[in-house]
Amino acid sequence: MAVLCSNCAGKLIFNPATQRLECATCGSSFRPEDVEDKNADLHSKYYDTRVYVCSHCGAEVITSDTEASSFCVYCGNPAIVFDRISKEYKPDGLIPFQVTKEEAIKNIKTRFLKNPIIPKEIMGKCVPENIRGIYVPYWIINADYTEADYLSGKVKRGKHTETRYYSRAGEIAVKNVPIDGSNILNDDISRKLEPFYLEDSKTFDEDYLNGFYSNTSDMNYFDLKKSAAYRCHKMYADEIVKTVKAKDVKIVDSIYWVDVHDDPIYMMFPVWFFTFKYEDKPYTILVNGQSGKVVGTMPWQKKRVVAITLATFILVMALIAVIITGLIQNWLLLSSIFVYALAGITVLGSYSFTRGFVGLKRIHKNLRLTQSEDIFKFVKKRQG
Amino acid sequence: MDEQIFMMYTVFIGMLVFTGIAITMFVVYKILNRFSNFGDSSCKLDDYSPRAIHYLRDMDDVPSTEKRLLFSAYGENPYDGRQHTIPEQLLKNSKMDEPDQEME
Repeated sequence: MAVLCSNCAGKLIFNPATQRLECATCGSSFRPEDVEDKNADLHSKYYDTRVYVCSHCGAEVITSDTEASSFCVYCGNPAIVFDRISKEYKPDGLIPFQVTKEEAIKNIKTRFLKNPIIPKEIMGKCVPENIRGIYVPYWIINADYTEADYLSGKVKRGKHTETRYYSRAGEIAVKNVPIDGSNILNDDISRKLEPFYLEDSKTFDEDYLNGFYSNTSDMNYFDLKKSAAYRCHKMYADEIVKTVKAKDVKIVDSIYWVDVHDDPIYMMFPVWFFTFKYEDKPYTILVNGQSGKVVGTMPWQKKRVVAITLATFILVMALIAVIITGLIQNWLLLSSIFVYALAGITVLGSYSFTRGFVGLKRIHKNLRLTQSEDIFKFVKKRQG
Repeated sequence: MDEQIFMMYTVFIGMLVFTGIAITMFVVYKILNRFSNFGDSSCKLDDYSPRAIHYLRDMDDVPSTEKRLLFSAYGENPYDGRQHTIPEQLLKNSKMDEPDQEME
């Protein structure tokens, strides 16, 4: 439970800007390591928390008693109720918040400046009441990893393009890889929050939690190994495709194994959650509480994007029409240029289509991840 | 002959329209990526490993039989049998999962 100010018995809140516990009543400030909670057993493996449960998505949110929860930080629903006081295992360490709530808001709002497609009303929603700081559980692992891949790639041979196949197998030892320890947060989102710098980590002291929410790890050892294997596979696959000297390289099939070394370290990392609703859909934008990195896909004004699309299409077609007219009028003179122009347009078209299609697919996937209904479905799936 | 020229023009114009759509798609992707999609990056393998990948097999332009050989060579867990101490939090969560599994 939260410690009180030794001068006036007011509640102490951790301030990321000063890295000190501050009393809102009398203004005194203390270093977290100097403050002693007389009720706490320093040698205990546990600490006391207040657990709130969201009746909409089932997420559990944990607070110290300095912060009353009024809505779910994951899905933005106000249907959150106090559930119980719980004893939780103390993590081995944490990285204290270094980015203040004001800085997190500023980082998000910077993205709105000179932005023609994000609805202006979202800027009005970026207020302190909609932003919550959560210590997210992570496991820091060292591991041995082996993967075998069968890949394909396209190679030019004369005028034709051939598909060729490649075989790779390799092993690597990885160190200090952070694995998101919460089943509620999607691994593809938490991965983007990295890097977290472990040099700033502190031994766990619950005073750092004052003024913030926290979440305990709800995964078991099997889940950890599965997440670790997936995390390593993602990084390994990015590297392995670079070793193939061909175009359009794809992993056809792969098999991978991970061995997580003894005693992974249980940590808490700081993350700001900005939750809001737009057109009845919930969105969650995250800010790394250590580096300030903003992660998420904002909704856009559909009318404006459609207008931009049409304008671009008309402009491109007009340019093409000018080229065609010019070529038809000077057919004989420019017949050789015509052939080159045709070849150039074909290459440009194929390149643009591939890049554009893959890119739009990726943005759509990211948008789905940002819409926290996905977190809702994810939780429900885990709950069976 | 006229029909042939007409076909050629149709294919040509079709290709130009496709190129127009493709370029538009690319421009829209670039705009959405710049103004709506934030922080779409993650750490690479060399951020977590001081050493490079140690290759056990590295073959180009392989025949179709290679896939079967590759997966039969690496299809078994090389770390099988290694014992580890598991942190208490993970053990606690395993116990909490047990009633669910029984119900299933």
